[in-house]
Amino acid sequence: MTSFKTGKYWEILNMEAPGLSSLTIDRRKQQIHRSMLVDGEKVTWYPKLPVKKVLDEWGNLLGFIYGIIISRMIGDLDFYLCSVLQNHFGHGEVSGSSWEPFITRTRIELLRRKHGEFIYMLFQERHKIEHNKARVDERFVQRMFKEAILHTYKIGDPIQKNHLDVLATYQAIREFARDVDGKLSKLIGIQNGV
Amino acid sequence: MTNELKALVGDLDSTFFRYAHITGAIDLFMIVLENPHLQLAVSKDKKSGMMGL
Repeated sequence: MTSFKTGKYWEILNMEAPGLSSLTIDRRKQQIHRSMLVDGEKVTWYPKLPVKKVLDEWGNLLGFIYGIIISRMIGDLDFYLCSVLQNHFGHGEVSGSSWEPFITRTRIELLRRKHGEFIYMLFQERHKIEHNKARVDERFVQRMFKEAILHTYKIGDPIQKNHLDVLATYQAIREFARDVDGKLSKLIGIQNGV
Repeated sequence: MTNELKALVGDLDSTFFRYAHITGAIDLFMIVLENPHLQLAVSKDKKSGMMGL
């Protein structure tokens, strides 16, 4: 447990509400329940939960956010690939993933670009996070095998992410996209006779 | 640099900004939950010390 009886936070709190440390609080009352009034009637929209139960979920809650954010960042990258196809190649992709169509249209081997294999695996992980309750399945393993990408997953393994994974993903996508975009800019320039 | 890449960089930064604040808010929420004195300090109901009432 983190002690906040020292340091800046505690100083600020004591300035706001002096004498806190002398108060006694009945811990049995600790529970979370949010509510609002609808037409004069109290409606509870957040389930009543004991504080301990919520605290036990701390790690799971953060893990849930890590998964969502990585999915979202891969979604941002997919939107980039899709926009390039739409704006420079006149191709509107509707399949949900622009990875393969991008390679077909531009002939840029995405797997061979900077962090290409890592990014490809993230694409596949994202698909499982969103469509298979974040579990590795046979199709995932087959795709990795087909592209000769090394990994440690077995069928049925959960896809678990942490803060460092989020940081690595953020950085890798930026570097991957810059690398691809450099290649793409030359291609578009050649197409336009530049 | 294409306009699409500029848009992507902006999108990534925006997503990361949200990530940092959402996880920060969860951590802060949990830190308050595990400390009755902090609960009382942020509670609307100073008598019970319960969150958000």
